[in-house]
Amino acid sequence: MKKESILGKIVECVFLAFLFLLFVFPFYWMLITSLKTTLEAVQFPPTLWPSKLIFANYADAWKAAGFVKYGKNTIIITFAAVALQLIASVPAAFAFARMNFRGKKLFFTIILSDMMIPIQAIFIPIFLMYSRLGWLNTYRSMIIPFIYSGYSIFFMHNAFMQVSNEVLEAARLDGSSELAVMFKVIMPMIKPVIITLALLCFVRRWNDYFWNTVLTTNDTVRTLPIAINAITEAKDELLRRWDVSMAGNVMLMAPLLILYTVASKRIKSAFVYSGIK
Amino acid sequence: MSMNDTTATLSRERLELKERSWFYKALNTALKCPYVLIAPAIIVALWMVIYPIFFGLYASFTKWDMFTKSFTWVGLANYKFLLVSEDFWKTMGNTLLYMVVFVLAGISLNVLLGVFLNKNKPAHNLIQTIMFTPHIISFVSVALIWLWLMQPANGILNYVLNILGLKSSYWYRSADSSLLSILIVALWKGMGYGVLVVISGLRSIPQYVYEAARLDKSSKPNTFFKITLPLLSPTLFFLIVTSVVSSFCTYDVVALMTKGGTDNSSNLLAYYIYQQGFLFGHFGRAMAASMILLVMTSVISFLNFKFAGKEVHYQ
Repeated sequence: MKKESILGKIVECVFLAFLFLLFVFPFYWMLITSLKTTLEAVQFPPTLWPSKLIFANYADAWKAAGFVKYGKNTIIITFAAVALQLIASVPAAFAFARMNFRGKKLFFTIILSDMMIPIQAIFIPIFLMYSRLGWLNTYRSMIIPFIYSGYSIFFMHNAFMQVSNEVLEAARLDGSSELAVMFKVIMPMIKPVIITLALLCFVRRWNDYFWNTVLTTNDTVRTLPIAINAITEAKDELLRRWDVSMAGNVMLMAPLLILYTVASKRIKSAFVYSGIK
Repeated sequence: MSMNDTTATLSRERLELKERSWFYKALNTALKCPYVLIAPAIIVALWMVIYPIFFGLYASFTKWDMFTKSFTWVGLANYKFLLVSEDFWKTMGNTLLYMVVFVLAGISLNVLLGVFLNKNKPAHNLIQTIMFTPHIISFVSVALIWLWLMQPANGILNYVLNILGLKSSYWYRSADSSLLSILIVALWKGMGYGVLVVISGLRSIPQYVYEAARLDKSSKPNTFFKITLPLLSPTLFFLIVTSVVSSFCTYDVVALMTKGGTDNSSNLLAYYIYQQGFLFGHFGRAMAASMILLVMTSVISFLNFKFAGKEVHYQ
C-alpha cells in the first residue's frame, strides 16, 4: 500500500514536470533564440543556452516590424473598440434587463445573433460592403463592428437582472434621476462584470489576426500581430532571421504576459465566465 | 455603506443635478427610453451581422466583377462548381477530420488533465496557470513559436526526434503531416482553456455525491465513469459545441502556418473561403462556401439550443 502511493507520487511528479516542460519550453525557446546571434540561432544541433547574449535583435525587430506605426494602430483600435463597446453595451443590457417595451424579444434575438454567426461566414459580404463605402483601410472599419458584441450585452444583461428591484425603487422614490440611479447605484454593483468584459474585449482586439488581415488591403491600419508575422514572411524561408522574429514575438506578447501575471486570476475567470454562464 | 448613507448621497446628487446642463437632461431622458438605449447595438448588429448574411446569400447566386464592381446573376452555378470541385471536397474532408480529432483529442485531454490538476496544490495550480498562457496570446505568437520549433532543417523538435532515434519530420511543410502539425498547435493553444472549464465544472459537483460513493466503496474508475462524467456532462456538452464550431471556423492557424499546405493537405473551409475570394477573385464561389459554413455552424447552434439544459442535466 505504502509502496504504491510512493510510486503514485513519482508518477505524478514526472507528469507534472512533463506538462511544465510542454508549456514552458516553447516560450523558453522563443526567448533564448531572441538572444542568440543569427548564426547560433540557426545552428543545428541547437544550443540550449546562447554562448553570448545579444540584445541587438530587439532593436532590429523594433525597426523591421515598424513597432511605432503598428503599435499606434493597435493601441488606437484596441482602446477605441473597448471604450465604444462598453458605451454601447451597458445601456443596451440595462434596457433588456430592466425595461419592458414592444419588440423586446425580437430585438434580443437580433442582439444574440453574433453568438451564432461566425465572422468567417460573413467577412466577404462585409469586405464588399466596405469596398463600396470606401471604408477599406480605415480605423472605423476595424472599430465599428466591435461596438456591438452579443456576448457583452448578454452577460451584462444577466448581471443587471441580479440587481434587486428594491434598491432601485428606493433610489427612485428618493427622487434620484435615472442617470444618478444608473451611475451611483447600478454601475458599482455590476463593476466586476464590466471589468471582465473590458478585459476580454481588450485581449481579443489586441490579438486579432483574422479581421485585421482579411479586411485590409494595405498597411495603413494594420496592427502589431500582422507586422510581427511579416518579419518572417517577407523573406525567403532559408534566409529567415528567426532570432529577430522571436525578439519581435517577445515584444508582441510582453504586454499581455505582464497583464496576465498581474491579474491571472481575473483573466482566467473572465475567459471561463464568458464561456459557461 | 448603509441604506441611509446611500440615500443621502443620492439626494445630494439630485440637488447637484438640477443645475446641470441640457446635455445631462437629454441623457437622463434617454435613459428612460429603451429604444434609444438599444439603438447603437441594434444598428451595428443589423448592419454588420444580419445584413451581410442576406447580402451573402444573394451574392452566392452571382458572379462579382472586380472591375465594374457589379453582380451578374448566375443561379446555382457557384454551388454546382463547389459540388464538383475536388479541392472543395478535399477541404471539406480535412475540415471534418480536423473537427473530429480536435474535439475528441481535445476534450479527452481536457478531462484527463482537468481531473489530474484539480487538486488545489501549488504545483498543480501553477501548471494550470502556465497552461492557460497560450490561450491569451495572439495566434500569431503561437504560430511563430511553433513554426520555429517545427522547422524541418534546424528546428529543435527534429533534434529531439533524432535524439530519440527517429527520423526528422517535415512537419507543416509536408502533405503527410501538415494537418497533424496544425492540429498539434491548435490543441496546444486551447488546452489550458478547456482544462480550466473542466475544472470549474468539476468544482460545481457537490462533495456529498463523492462521499456517498466512498461510503459505497465505489472504485476510482467506477466513480469517474458513473459519477464524475455524467455530472460533468453539461460542461462537456458546452465544450463539444464550442470546439465543433471553432474547428469549423479555423482560419488563423492555417493562414499562419501552412496556407492550405501542398495539394490542400491542410486546407480548411474558412481558409478556402478566403482563397476563393481574395486570392482567386471568385467572390460568388467564396460566398457559396460561406453559406455552407453558415449552415454547418447553424446546425450545431440549433442542436445546442434544442438539447442544452435538457438531456444533459442529471441533477
